[in-house]
Amino acid sequence: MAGYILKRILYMIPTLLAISIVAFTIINLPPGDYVDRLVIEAKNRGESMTPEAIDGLRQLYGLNKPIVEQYVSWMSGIVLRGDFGISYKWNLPVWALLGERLGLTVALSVATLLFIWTVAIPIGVLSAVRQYSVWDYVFTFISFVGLAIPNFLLALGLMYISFKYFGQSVGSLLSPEYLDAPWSLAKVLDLLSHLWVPMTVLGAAGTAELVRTLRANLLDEIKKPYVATARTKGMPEVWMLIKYPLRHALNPFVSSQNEIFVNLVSGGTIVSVVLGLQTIGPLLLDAFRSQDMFLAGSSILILGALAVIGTMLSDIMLAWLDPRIRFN
Amino acid sequence: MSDAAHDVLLAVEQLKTHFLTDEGVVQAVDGASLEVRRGRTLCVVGESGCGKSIMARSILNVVDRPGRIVDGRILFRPEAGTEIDLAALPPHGQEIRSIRGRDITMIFQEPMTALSPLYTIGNQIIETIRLHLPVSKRQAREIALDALGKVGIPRPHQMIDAYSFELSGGMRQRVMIAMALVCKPKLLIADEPTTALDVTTQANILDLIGGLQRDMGMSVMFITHDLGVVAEIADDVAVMYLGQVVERGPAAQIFDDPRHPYTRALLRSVPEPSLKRRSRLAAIRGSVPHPLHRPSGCLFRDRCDFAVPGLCDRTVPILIGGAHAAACHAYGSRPDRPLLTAADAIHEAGAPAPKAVGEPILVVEDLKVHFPIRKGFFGRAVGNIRAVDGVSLDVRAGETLALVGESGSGKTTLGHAIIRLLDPTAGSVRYRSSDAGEVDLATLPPGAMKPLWREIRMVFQDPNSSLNPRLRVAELIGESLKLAGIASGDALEPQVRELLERVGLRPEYLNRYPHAFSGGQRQRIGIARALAPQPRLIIADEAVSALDVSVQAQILNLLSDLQAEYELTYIFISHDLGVVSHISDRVAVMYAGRLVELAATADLFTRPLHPYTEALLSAVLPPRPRPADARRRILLDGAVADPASQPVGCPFAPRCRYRQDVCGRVAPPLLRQPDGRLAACHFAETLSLAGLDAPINSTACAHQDTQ
Repeated sequence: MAGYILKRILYMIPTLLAISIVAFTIINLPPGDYVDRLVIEAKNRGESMTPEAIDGLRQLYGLNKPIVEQYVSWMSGIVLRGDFGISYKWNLPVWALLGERLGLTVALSVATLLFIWTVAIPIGVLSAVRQYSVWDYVFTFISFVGLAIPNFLLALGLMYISFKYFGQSVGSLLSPEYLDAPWSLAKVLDLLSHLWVPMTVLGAAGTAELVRTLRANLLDEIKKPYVATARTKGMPEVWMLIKYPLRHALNPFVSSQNEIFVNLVSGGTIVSVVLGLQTIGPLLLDAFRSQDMFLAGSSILILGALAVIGTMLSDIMLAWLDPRIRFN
Repeated sequence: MSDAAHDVLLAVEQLKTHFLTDEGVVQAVDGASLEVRRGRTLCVVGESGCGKSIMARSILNVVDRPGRIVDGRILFRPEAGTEIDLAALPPHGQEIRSIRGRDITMIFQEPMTALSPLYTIGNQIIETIRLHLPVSKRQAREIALDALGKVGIPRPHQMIDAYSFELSGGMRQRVMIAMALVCKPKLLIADEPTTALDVTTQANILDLIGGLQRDMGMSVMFITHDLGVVAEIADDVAVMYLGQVVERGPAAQIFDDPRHPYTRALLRSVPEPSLKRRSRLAAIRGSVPHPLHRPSGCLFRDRCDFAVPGLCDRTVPILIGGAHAAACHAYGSRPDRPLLTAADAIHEAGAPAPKAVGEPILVVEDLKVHFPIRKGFFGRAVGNIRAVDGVSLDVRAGETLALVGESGSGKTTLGHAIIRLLDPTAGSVRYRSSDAGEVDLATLPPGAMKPLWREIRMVFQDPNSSLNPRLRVAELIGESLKLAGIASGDALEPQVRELLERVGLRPEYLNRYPHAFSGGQRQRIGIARALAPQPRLIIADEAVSALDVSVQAQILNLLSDLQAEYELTYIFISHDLGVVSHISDRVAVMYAGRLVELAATADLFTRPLHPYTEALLSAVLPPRPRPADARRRILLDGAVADPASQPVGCPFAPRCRYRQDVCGRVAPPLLRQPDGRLAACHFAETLSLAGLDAPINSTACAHQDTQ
């Protein structure tokens, strides 16, 4: 098992390297750079910049160097000093911008994951064991509704309801007074009180999907001979269900959990914008729009790393759950 | 309680287990009655779909939803004076659960899936022990180790922490048996426990169950469709048809004097491994109807040769008789049964004239199929699986050549390599085609094989997955006709109709999809598709293995008829030596990718030249009771040699009871023996090996008996 984990970690290195190259290439693809953007903005304000000033800026930001050199200096900064570069727009180190948001993004991801598991697993089991019962039909209906509603719409709906009927603003992950405050117990409690809305919104579709998958998997597993074997041993039904078919049914679903971080960025960005969440998604969107190269590149790199780590974690969990994978 | 009643451990009375489905109530078990006597073995036989398994599961009340016991009693008498009606206990209650796994246990057909691959076998056995016995984990582990040793698992201390997927099928079934017997049950219910295993492994498992039964004095209910197994182990037999027991009685009487036409028909349809081959088998018409479409009156009347109009279609027969009882009007009203005896004469047809066998149409020379074993990050090939390792043989026009051997012997791979479903690694397959002269199939570029696929066709084992479920029969067969350029457009349909008729299907079935057919009918469609381009050579890969005996007989008869009519040549791949003795002219025995013996069928069955052939023959169970001393079997330990390792010497040597020093050093080549037969054994000339039914040389057996 230790060898397996080590191997998985080693496999991550080339993958991350490839992601960094792709990320850097993509943000360099559009014509023009950050300085061009500044020139245009200056022009829009009716000012003009001298070619010397423009060259000076390029030199300052290192944009006049060949692209390979820019990539190497960016990467070496990350690897050697943990320096992700400077955000041109915010004039701050990228890490200062991303650091806290990264933590919040991961917290939200994990909370959403836990939410999905705790809600979906009992419902999925109930739907499968009592197939075609009233409960099965009710949950099937709710699941399909959950799958069908776009989550930003759900976010808007929840915001409207809680604002109108409870008089509570549910946007953001933190109350305004805690936004720049240092971390304290009060801030954590505040975060928890805000977390439930984005968690529900982001988890709704995932929950519905998991209920459907788990139900289908379980229905297949319950017919397998090893279930009959377990029953004829005289095992109590609930224990038997958990130990045998449920554990088998979890496999395909554990292997799909690698997407959790990725989903939060791709699908979650819109929700984050709507709800005003302090996650990486909205910052990334903004960085793209202003061609803030290092911020965009670093965000992509970090999200890529999260995706790779997510995949690794789900693979390790799968190997832990399923000896057939360990033995391969 | 009377003595007779005391003698009965389990009495199933008028059991009804129904499935309430959207289409209607499926009466899977409908009034079945049988008895299991203390310390005895009851075999329950019948075709698939007759409710044998559902009946067995009903006893422990573990029928899958939406099935449930709706009526009847299941009286279990663990001790004298106690009687529990299992059918009346709540299915999830404590009472029935304490009986499951302790007093009554079950083993199943698929040893591959009956154990969970996610837990070690030790975990699963210890769990059973701790459910029923008040012992600590450590004590339970000791008990489990002891049980694994008793069922012949080598190195129990190591294997107890193994996972099921690390074990072979035979070993898994042993683990299942260990788990079932660990609490010393009164009754073991075995549901087709050897069906998925090789004959050699089956022999080992049957011996194991028999031995343990004698030691522990338990009763066994053994469900099987294999009448050879029944003859071997049964004290009593119950024959089930469509959810009812139609005949039951002591095994000897069932075999010598079967009373129900269904029992008689079943017994006659088994291809007896005998030396006079090629008599037509007595197949049972049609197949078991779906339980939703049960006929009125006697359930068997549609397929019965003796049905009396006005009686059998109106009145339901009841089980009549004492210890040996049958549910048939002919039996009840006419004890002398003139009807039944007269009709038997039909089936005593003589053997057909010997066939004209011509020149070889296929010559395989030193054929090798190796699969690389890949490992590591870049998938380097670190070794080879030698699935087929230097096979040479010829197939003569008009003959049936059988390929036999255990699973893993390479017989299917060889078949696939000949027809180029797989690319051979080395060697040649020279085929004498009808027009283009001789071609080497092994080296033909993939495109050039296409026209030859009209002449060489394949019939697959599984008729369920070898037919595209989205195509109608007309398209399935028409496609082959079109590709062969035989017919197209309007000319297609009459051709398809003719083919359907030829394989014994109604031409009206043209527009049906495969799922609307039974297994036997689907195999007929597969044969029609193979016949469509008027082939010369058909490779049948376990073509009848998945079928019930009655249907198997129909298909074997069909294959014989077609061979005579179209001068077909067959390569018949099978593990069933009974079937092989019936259909083949010559037999090639394969072991670990190599040919070890090739001979005319009668020669091979009477006097095998290779010890492996002898062991295979000794594992054959003829469908009639034999005296105990004739039941001696050569037990082969372990599995077929690992095809990934390059063996030094004879690959069979580790399992051979005649091995000598030279066998471990020098691999014997396949040599022509003085009588013209081929065998790969150093001692082929000196050994005198036992054929079918001949007593086995017991001195050489000695070391096998001690295990």
